[in-house]
Amino acid sequence: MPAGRDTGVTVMGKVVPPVPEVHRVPDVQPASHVLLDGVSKRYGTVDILREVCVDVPARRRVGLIGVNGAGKTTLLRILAGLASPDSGAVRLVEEGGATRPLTSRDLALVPQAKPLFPVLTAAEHLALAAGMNRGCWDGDLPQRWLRDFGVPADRPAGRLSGGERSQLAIALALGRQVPVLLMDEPFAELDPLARDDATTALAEHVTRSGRTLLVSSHVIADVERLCDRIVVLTHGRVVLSGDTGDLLAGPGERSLSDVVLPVLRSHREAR
Amino acid sequence: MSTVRRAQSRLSLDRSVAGMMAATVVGYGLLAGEELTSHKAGMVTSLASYQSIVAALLVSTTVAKEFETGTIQWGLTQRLSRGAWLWWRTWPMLVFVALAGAGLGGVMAYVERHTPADMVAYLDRAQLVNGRWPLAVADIVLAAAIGILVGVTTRRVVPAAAISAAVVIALSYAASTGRGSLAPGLSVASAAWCIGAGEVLAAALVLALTARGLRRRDI
Repeated sequence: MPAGRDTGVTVMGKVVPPVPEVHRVPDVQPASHVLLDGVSKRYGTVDILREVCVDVPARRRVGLIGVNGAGKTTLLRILAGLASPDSGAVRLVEEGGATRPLTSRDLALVPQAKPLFPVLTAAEHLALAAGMNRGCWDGDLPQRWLRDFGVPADRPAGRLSGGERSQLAIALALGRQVPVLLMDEPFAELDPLARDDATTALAEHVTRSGRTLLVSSHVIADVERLCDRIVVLTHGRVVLSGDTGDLLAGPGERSLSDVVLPVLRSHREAR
Repeated sequence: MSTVRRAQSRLSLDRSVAGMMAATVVGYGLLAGEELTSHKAGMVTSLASYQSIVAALLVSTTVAKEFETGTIQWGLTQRLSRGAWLWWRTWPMLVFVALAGAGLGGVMAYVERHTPADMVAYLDRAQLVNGRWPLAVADIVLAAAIGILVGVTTRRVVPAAAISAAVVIALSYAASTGRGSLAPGLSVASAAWCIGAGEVLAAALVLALTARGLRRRDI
């Protein structure tokens, strides 16, 4: 059991007190360190990713930032096994140091488009996911997530708002008891209040459950609230990566925007 | 029925789909009545290929819609392999399509006077296998397999519908003109069984190739 399970954990500099048993993830996930080693991907004549090396340490919350077309979604699709790299490899380093390829059994994905079945209700989506993930499904967590964010369980997904669809997609990912969570702009359609609450709740959940999170976002404030490490991509290359604490330690850098925006601007001007 | 089964049924057999397939069976039943009472011989058999077209349209558009809406991304990041996903997503439809084919086969057997009672009565004369009804079932199974292949290949609903319908119509035309010369030494009934078995084998091959291709491609 990791330290802090019973004594509270630190999220964004604040100590979160222990939560009641009902709010706990039943099993703390095994530590899983994800490595992208020299991954390249080309669509037609366009290089989407160029020998990308990304390190997603176990039990960390890593934010993926980049301009449009930087390759964030392709990177997440390769990690999820939906696309294969032209070169390079994706590996999972398990507790104890054993290395093996990352597979769909190790991860849950929130795709960018939040694809759902329009005729099924939120409750039916959860039931379907539970049926497809027997033995690695936590039925309580996604239901609680939907309830906390006011998503009606009995309304077909086709009649949910964009924000409600996003919350359902996040809930479906959280329900899978897997060590790695991949999220592609999960908060893009949320209102400011829901966005703030969701990032805080997600950070707390990931920290408590010991999962590894890689989340992409265009909103640097979201990444700052949620993540403890960032990777910045431009034009298929990693141009900056590091722990947020280290990046914010410099003089005059009060927020991640102060660090990330100059890097993005300099690479845009260099092209 | 469990919530999971109900959800899967609603996904694969929504009202429009079930209605379309049921309408074909009822329509063929009415045609059979017309054929028996008005001496319009051969009407059911000559129109049987339309149900195959309906089956191909149904299956190809359902599979293509998974790609178009992106729900396949969700499906393939669950605890399922790609082949298992393909099976999971299509089996209720395939069962329904096969049942519709069996219904059509039954109608054909009836209008050809090979009713179950006849078959039992003439068991010793090997009449059990007479009739062209096995072709109706095999045609639909092959059409459904082609529908899955076209849906996975095109990944778009409208092209999937157009291509699958065109392929099944072309195959149906080729088969109807070539069946006589495919097995000239056999009776109509024996040829129907041989060609039907060939079609089912071809369907299995198409499905295996589709699953193999799906494993290797980006989603």
